[in-house]
Amino acid sequence: MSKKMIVLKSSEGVSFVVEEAVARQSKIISFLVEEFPDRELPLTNMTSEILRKTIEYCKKHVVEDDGGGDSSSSSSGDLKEWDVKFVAEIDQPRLMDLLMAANYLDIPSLLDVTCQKVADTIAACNDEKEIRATFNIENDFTEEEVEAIRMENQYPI
Amino acid sequence: MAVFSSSSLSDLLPELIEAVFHSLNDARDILSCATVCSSWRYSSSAVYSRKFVPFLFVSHPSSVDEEARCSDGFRIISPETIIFSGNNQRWICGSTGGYLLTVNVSFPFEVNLQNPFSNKVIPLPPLASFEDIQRLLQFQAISQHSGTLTLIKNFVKKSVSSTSLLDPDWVVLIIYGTDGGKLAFCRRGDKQWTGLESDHVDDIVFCSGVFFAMDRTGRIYHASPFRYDPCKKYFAESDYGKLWVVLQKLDIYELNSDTKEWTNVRSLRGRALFLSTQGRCIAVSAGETGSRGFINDNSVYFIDGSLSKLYESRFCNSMFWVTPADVFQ
Repeated sequence: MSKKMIVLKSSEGVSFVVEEAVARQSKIISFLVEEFPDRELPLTNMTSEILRKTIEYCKKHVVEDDGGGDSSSSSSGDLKEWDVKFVAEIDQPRLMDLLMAANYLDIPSLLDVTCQKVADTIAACNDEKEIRATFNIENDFTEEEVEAIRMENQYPI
Repeated sequence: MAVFSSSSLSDLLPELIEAVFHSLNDARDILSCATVCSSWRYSSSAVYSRKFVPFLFVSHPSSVDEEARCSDGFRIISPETIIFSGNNQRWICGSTGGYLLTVNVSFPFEVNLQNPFSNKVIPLPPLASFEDIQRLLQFQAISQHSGTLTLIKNFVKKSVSSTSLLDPDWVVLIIYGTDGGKLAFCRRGDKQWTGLESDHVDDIVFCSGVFFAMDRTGRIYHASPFRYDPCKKYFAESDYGKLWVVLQKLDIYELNSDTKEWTNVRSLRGRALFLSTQGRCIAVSAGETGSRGFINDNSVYFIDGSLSKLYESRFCNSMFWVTPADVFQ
């Protein structure tokens, strides 16, 4: 029996043909597939690159979920390892895009791994200056304000 | 909607920044995040109080049973350490009088007070009875967006009950809202929450038979106006029915309910205060029994995820940051 395929279209107009089961890991796509069957689904805020990454993630996870049964415990460990590798290979701006895509498409497990990766990057910084530099964030505090927040948080008496 | 392309962390929606912060496991990292920029400060403070502050203190005055001795008189329970039986998934959104306030994760978002040890359950009106929640759900129906759930999860900021929940005339007061803190209460058997006219409420307490609320500007309701510069403030209840207000720098004031006057407190008289940086405050008896010398009379403890330091102050014997692990052993 051939599997049902659906077409997702990126912001550049590139079409991706994926199995419905793969795409349905996104709750949004699940919903859209039911509302508009047999239609190409335009994902106008996702670049081809990010869409490709998202599909790669979904494919991996749908295969593992199908496995099921007794092998699930060992495969879930492998899957975690795969997830770690998957996000480790992505550079930071693309990681942000992927995080937003996971949120937009409503794929909770992908959102979790991307959030964890960003959190790990924050945790690896020594201070707030390094965090700002790493994530290219503008500092809208004055020295005094930073000092005041630090005081408030640490209660040095 | 803009194309997601080479985005920066500052482009993230506040709920996504909160999701990222929630994945941080060291309180120091969250505190560093607070000094990065103003939007981070706001998000980090919301996450900090949910993730790192113990939710429930249970005091065991008599160390009769084994467990009480092991826990050394006090237990701090964080939401992560509690697992409920049953199929319904619930969020823990606060605690009052030894009960946890839980919210069901699906419609109509039933609210219960649950004793984690006796499993006694007291049903409260569901969150779906709030107009704000109905609006959120309508929005979700249209947009199919999961961010709504995060907003509902953080809807109840704090809950306080009058006297004892065994008393049939109990009232539960909550601070709620998706932005500024508003107040609502319910009585036993109520089908919905009753709102009180209020805004930007920082803290609530039940003391001497009256609920008190303090707003962001330091104004206290149900008591004579008491104004202070805006800063983080706490209510604490002393064990002899006096209301304390703790301001920054450890100025503690006591309300004389007869004269409606506030006096500066110089001694905690047998009590120890636990403060968290983000607005929870608990006064406990500093018992001479057990506690491994840990909870001292006249001391103020700062609850923090990982720091441990000793500070001296003009009226406190000793002071240090306490980690949940220190108490929960």
